[in-house]
Amino acid sequence: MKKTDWAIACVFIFIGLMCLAMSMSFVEHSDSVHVIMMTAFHYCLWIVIPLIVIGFLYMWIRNRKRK
Amino acid sequence: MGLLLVVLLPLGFVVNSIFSNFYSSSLERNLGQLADRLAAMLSTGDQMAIGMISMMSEMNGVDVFVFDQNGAFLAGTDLNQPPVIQSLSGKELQRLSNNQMISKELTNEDDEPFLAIFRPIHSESLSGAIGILSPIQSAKDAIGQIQSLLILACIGAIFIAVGITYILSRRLSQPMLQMEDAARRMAKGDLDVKVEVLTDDETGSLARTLNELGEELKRYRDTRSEFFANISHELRTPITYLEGYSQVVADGLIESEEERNKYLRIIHQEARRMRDLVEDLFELSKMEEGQISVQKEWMDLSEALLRVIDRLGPKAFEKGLIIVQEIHAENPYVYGDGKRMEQIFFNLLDNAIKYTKQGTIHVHLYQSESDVIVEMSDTGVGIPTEELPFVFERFYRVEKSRSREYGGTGLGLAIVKRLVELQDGQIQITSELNRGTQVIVKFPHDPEEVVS
Repeated sequence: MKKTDWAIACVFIFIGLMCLAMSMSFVEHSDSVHVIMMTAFHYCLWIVIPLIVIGFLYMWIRNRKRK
Repeated sequence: MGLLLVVLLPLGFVVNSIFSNFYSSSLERNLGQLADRLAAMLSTGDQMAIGMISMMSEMNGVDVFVFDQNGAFLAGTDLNQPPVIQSLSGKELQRLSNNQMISKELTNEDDEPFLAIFRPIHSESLSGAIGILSPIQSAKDAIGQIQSLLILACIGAIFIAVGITYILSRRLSQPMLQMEDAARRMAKGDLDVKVEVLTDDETGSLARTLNELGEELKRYRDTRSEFFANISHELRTPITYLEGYSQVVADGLIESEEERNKYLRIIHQEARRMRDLVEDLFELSKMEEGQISVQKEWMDLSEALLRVIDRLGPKAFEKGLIIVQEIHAENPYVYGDGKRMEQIFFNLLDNAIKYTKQGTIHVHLYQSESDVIVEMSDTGVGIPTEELPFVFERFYRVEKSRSREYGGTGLGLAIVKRLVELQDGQIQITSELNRGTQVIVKFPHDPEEVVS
């Protein structure tokens, strides 16, 4: 993939994450950038941690297949 | 992407319904309970109940109205409200009189929404209904805000999905596009193109197969070009000889009878060489059209072998080679075509003689439990190990130079292999450079196996 492709994909993902963060923050009646970013960080953990677990599982299964 | 929308949109609709219905059903339940309590208080006929009702309605932020059984207004907390009982339809009034509770949304003159609960009262002191009105504008505003935030969250999820889908689609399609480009270039004749193999899955397997196809096509094209070059050389050379020597004979430029006979022998030799080449080409064309025929019958393989040894014995003797034959088979019968068997052994023995400068050629016929086996071993120049897998391919020649000492067209072993397989046999070659070559040909001799 070219750099422009990665840039386009990252822009879409970033916009999506910000929309989610804003919707969660407005529920807390806060439009502070700090609160929005902290909210984004918290639910990014909910995305990253499962991805890490799945990644480890995938690599473990692949190594077992190779053996 | 479409799948995501199919999942997200119904989910969003369900979540929205859950939020809005949850609030309204919860409010309805609370108002219903309040209506029950107020109705019970009014049923006692206690005058203090009216005061209590006012206090309770103020505490709950609702308006309460009491009607008699004819719908006439008896008492209420907000006398400025229009008679709400008139908002009930005949069917709803019927339900009230049947002691059922009614719940509906109403709006006042200022278009402010209210939730109205009507509870029938049947007692000795009072028969009618109690109505409770609760403003729901703030609740509707809150639900509207939540709906907006849900929509924003859905839009966010769609953006994330678009980004991830974009990445996945590019990564999945890139190898396919690369393979498509490679296939297109191969079709145009560029057989040196290679596809990068990045994964071990089906896509990687397809890429490897495409690379192998390119290599096979390249090898086929190269050997075919070499074949045509060889053919033209092989044809041009004898024609040159024929032309030259026949011209000499025709012009009478011969000094002796011996010289004349020599030239005629050469003309005859070259004519035979051309004939062999044409026959090989003819066999090749029949093979490519699948038209090679074999007339199978039970035959003695040792007889075919011995006939070939007799035919080629003088040629080997001329070169100073010794053919050692060993026939050790009690039952050398196989189901095959005698003529084709001779063709096979002739080709193999002729190659052995051609590529052996000195030494011995062993021809050994024996049998195992299931097969009759013919082994031919020579002490010739041998075949390099890396070329062994290709010696049965059409047009392939180990000896690339156009030396007339070896000759050949690269078709002999391809024809031999095809003939062996047509008669249910197997052939394998082992060789060591400068040590010699061994060819093993097997044919099944079990009549039951062959017939079945």
